Amino acid sequence: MNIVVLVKQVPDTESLVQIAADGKSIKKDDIKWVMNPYDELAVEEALRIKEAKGGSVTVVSVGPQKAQETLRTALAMGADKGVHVNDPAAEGGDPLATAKILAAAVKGLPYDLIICGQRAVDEDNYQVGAAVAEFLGIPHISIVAKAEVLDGRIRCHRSIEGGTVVVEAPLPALFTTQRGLNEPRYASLPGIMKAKKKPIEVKTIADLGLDPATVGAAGRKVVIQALRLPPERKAVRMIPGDTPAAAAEELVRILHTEAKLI
Amino acid sequence: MEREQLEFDVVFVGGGPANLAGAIHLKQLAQKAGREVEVCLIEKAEAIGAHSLSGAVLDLKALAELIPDYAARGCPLEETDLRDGVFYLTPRKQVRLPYLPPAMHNTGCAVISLSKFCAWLGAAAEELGVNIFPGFAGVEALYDAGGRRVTGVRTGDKGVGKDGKPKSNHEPGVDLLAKVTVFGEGPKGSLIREIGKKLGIFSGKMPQVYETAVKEVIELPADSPFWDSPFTVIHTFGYPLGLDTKGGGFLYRMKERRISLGLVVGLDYEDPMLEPYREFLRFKHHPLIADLIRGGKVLQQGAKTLAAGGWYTMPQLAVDGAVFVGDSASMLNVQRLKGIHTAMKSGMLAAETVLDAIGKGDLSAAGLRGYAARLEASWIRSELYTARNFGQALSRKGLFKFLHLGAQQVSGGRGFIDPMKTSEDGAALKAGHAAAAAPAPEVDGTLYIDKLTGVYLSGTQHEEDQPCHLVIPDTELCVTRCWETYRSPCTRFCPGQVYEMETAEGGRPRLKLNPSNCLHCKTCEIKDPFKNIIWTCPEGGGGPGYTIT
Amino acid sequence: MANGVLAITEQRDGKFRKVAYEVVSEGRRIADGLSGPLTVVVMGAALGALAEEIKAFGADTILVLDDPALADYRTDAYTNALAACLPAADPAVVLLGATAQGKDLAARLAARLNAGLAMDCTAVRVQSGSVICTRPMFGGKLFADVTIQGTPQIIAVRPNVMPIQRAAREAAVDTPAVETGEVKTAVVEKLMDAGGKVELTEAEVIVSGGRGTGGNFQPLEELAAALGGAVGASRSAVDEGWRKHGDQVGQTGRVVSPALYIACGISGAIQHLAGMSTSKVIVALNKDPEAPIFAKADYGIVGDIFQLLPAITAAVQKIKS
Repeated sequence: MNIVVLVKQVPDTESLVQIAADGKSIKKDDIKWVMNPYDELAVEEALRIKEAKGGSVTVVSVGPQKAQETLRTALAMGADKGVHVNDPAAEGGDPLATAKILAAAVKGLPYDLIICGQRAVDEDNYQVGAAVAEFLGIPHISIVAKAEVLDGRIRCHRSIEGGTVVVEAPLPALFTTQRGLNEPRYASLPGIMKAKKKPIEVKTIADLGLDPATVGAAGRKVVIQALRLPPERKAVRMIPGDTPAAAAEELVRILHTEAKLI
Repeated sequence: MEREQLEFDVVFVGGGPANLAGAIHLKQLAQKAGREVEVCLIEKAEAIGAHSLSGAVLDLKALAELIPDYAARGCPLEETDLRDGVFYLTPRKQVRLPYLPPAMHNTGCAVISLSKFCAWLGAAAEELGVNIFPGFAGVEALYDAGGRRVTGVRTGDKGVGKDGKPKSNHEPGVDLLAKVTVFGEGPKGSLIREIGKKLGIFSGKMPQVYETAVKEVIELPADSPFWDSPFTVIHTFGYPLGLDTKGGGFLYRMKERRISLGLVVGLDYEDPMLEPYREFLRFKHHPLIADLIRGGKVLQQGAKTLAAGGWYTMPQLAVDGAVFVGDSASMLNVQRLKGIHTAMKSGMLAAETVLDAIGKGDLSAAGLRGYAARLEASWIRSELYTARNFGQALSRKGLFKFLHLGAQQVSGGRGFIDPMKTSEDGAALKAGHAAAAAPAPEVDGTLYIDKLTGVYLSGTQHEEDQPCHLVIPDTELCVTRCWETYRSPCTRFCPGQVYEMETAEGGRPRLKLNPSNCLHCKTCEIKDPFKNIIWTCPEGGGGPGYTIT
Repeated sequence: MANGVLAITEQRDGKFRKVAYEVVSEGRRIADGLSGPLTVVVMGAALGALAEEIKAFGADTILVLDDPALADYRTDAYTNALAACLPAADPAVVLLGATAQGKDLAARLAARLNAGLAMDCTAVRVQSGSVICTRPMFGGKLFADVTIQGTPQIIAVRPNVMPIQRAAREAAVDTPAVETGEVKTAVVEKLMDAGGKVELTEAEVIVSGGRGTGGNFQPLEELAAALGGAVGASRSAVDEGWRKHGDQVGQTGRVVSPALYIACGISGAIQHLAGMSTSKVIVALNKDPEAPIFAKADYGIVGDIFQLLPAITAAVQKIKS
């Protein structure tokens, strides 16, 4: 079973996110960079499948030099090798542009199963997994909270509003992770030592046979015009009521008819 | 349990400036000599620099020796145009000292963020081939069968639940074995404490004394009057601590419209109702400071102790198989308010000694004696020896301190009494619990923030499901004698609101611990009058997330 | 040349989901802004007269893709069917709801068409002929205004955000031949509300309790069940052992961003706020009128949670039935 895991380095969700001077990007200094938490689930799931079925786990990432830290983390957790697409032309892409690069990188690898996070917690796009599968011409199942590898198939519990749908797809296939899938392991100290010696293949856009004009910032179709902070919350509206029941009813009425949340 | 063992030539415990400089120097020397040394450095923070907090004005001396082309290598210096102003504060006014004490001259110095600086040193060390492991805490020193020779360090288990049982992601710690282990844990290390008990490295020395600093990095508006101030480095004494409690304030200019603002409080204070955090807020509200920081916003906050005892509190520097560097070994020069350069230098001298000793194959205390000898011959000695009674003089009440300081000034540090004694900070508290007279300082959530907001801005984070890392052997004492005598000073001296006293049923006080607020400053272990708080290392990776402090 | 809007509706078991009306209403507004037609797509199997129900919301044309292969949502079947009928409609904008199904379909379709996709948008406006979408990023810590180059521009809008608006007009109903192509995925089971608890970080509604619960989370559980949400807790509540660690919301626990966060007996320390302040609507219930949580809430009631919660649950159940 050859498993490929797609990983991304993102700002830790605890980091203070500040808008840069151009108004369109974030300040990259003073940020703690970590592996996208949904990708951690993907690495863990891949390792568990490998432990049960044998095979190999290859982690693939697109990003600057620093992104190699995330590949090393995955290798320290137990992945076997890494592929790092490190090319200025690959930077600043939208999900589609990034998926093109990832698909091209995966194409050169043997794979039966691809696992990745349902989204990266930076731009929250929910797109890369599905797009990679499309470019590779394989099925995908998104937002998976439980996965079983059967004979030549994958069976996934996909979370939807109000329930779960169990979906099967023949391998090779791709699925994206949902919290609850597993509890990712720690990278152990010996694991980190071993990871230093594990291979990371570095590729450029040219190595992948891609046209630089179609990827990275140049290939972007979704263009960020401006970033801003969320609007300040309005002052609290205290809901009166002669009795708790009256206040409760009024609250529910507001949530139902004004906020439209119920 | 069988633990995995990894062998290195040298293991550095702690990723502060002392050990980073030591690891770098060791690799440099080995390279020059064409020798192979396997070096490993562990750090409990999730990233190198994430637990590093200091003022900080760095004397560039040690850095220039270690990495002469530091500027070309992009060393992150915040400010090199240092213009000093020292002020004595009264509650509403200030007086500028017309004359700068020689030790306060900052020629050849730079303002840095220690956090950034350490991250940079860490990258330099890694480039030289040091195996750096952030997120791994040393929890126990390892000894040979005889129990006298240090053989390495054990890292903490990860994935242990609050109930002490392993969780599904349990990852046992490993034994890092080394010919020499270098301990640079910073002030009040939890390993050196145990080593001290076992091997007596503190016996015959004066007790170490500490100060706690609360510090913020504040972003100021572009039109802040501070940008026109004639001073880029401001130190204050007097208000709010007065002359009976040692300590003082600082305000340094940094890059990107930021400043570093902090208050250092000597932990030999006597009033159990004193709260360093509150004093810090009062300091910020002083007109001199408030006017300069108006319109600002706190970006990051943190707290850390510093080991201020100086020369006479320096422990035995080497034992069989181990050496001690930096604040762990009392290298700070309290007279100059600086300890990073001496810490780095101590690490470098230790590295020279260790490489020698490995070459000669003698890793006993005797074989490592060269460290103390090198230190004796270095500028660390001349700095620290001159300042040997300085901190003790500062601890004197009122104006007496100035008599001592004056005498020391003209006698090369000897003064009236040499050596002047230090005493344990925890014993300084006097019984009593009169409420503080001054009203609580105001907070606004942006520039003036309460403790919990400060904890938030420290970025501190711990795995919640783990055993409490603060060991309180006698919790009954907390709600009886300590409450009755001092009204639980832990609830005040801790800058992270880790300790809270609640009223339980029947009006009885109840201690509530919030260990995940912990800033790893160690004030609690130092200042607890009953020595009833033992700080142990939480799961590696936990603790503050400093990036600009 | 690409023109107008194609709005993709979502139905389950032969009934439109609420998001369908939102998407069609929003589609009408965008189509008007672009001075183009609105085409509405209804997909599924044995749909009967379902298309009629959407007519009142402003479609010019309704495309009904009715095929047994579309009975359950499957990415490949739905993508294939849509991709086959898109060239004829040639829309400038493809609009759908950012639900579990819509997010999945939008992402695959965008890749198939090599088209730009703005996901999970909370606002869409047309300004001098170009469409500008607003979408949250970094878990709601920032909002981005984005434009999409090329056509079609695919826009997935966040559910429960776009207003539903009636705009009756005569819509032509078209039932083109459905081409589902090769379908590899199969739905083998549906487990609807089978006691499966909603994951905290994914929940749309979170009812969270603190010290003020005194350890009794039963009324919170009941309200969460009525709202199809999850139960969270403050650190105090977890420290007391009332809830497990996985339920903790806050700086050191989970960071959540639901549409509705109901804080019950939680004072609102910043560590807790750090974990939930990006929630869309925050309701605070606390007996202490000075509790800091009220300063961060949209709606607040001062009162006893043990009286309030059962009343709220009852009122919710009344509306839902």
